[in-house]
Amino acid sequence: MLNGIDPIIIFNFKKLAPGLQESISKIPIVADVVSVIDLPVIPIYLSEKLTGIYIDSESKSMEIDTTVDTLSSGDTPSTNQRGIQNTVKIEMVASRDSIGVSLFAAMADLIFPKVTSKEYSITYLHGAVTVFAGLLHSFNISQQANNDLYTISLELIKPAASIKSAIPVVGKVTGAVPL
Amino acid sequence: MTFDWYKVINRGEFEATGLVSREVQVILDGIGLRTVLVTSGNFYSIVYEGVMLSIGVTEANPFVFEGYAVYLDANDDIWLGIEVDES
Repeated sequence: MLNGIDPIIIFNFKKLAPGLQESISKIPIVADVVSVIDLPVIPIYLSEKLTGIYIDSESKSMEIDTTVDTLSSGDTPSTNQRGIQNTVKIEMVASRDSIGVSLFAAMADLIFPKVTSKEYSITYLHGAVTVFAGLLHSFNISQQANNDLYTISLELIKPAASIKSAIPVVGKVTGAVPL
Repeated sequence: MTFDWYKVINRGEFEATGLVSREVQVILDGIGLRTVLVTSGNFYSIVYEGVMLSIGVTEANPFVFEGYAVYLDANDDIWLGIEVDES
């Protein structure tokens, strides 16, 4: 474990709710709000004893594109910045018989077809290094010939914050009219 | 006829969005998660389970069709009605 605390990674899959266009195909719908249904989360406790995964290193990096434009008037140059990415990279090591490696490989295969529809999110919690509802930026599992260890590299990207309103619970009123 | 009424959306709030149609997800008490499509054209309508219920098509308020109903109250709230079996 790193820093004496076991990290946890939580895979959250979602399903895009089907639109009603299929049932009323003759009516032109100009705009609608896509809604998602959250499926039960899949937590993986990254403990050496439980899942056989050892966190080798963690790093957080932020890349910003900065351009400085000097002005013909000689005034203070204008500085413009653009965010490129904000990622957390986790390097792990696991033994060949580690159940965690099988889980990670399975999760990555489940995520791959959903990357465009964004029907997934990954939360990683380990002390100060946290990513809530992040997206997968890269994933790699490799094995060396000179040992029986797997090297797992996982890079998560923090997406822009989005506020999703809670689904309201609507009570019912019984009668001929709702009074 | 008796219905279980559920308040779906306020007509003024929907009009303020400027959208032609909007899918509203609600958890209906005793039923569960459902999606209701609210749409505006010549009339305000809701579509529930493939049934389109329009306000103002006829003089009737509530407008009843195929076991469902829509009602516009004095506060401009749009209600979805699901017929209750009275037997």
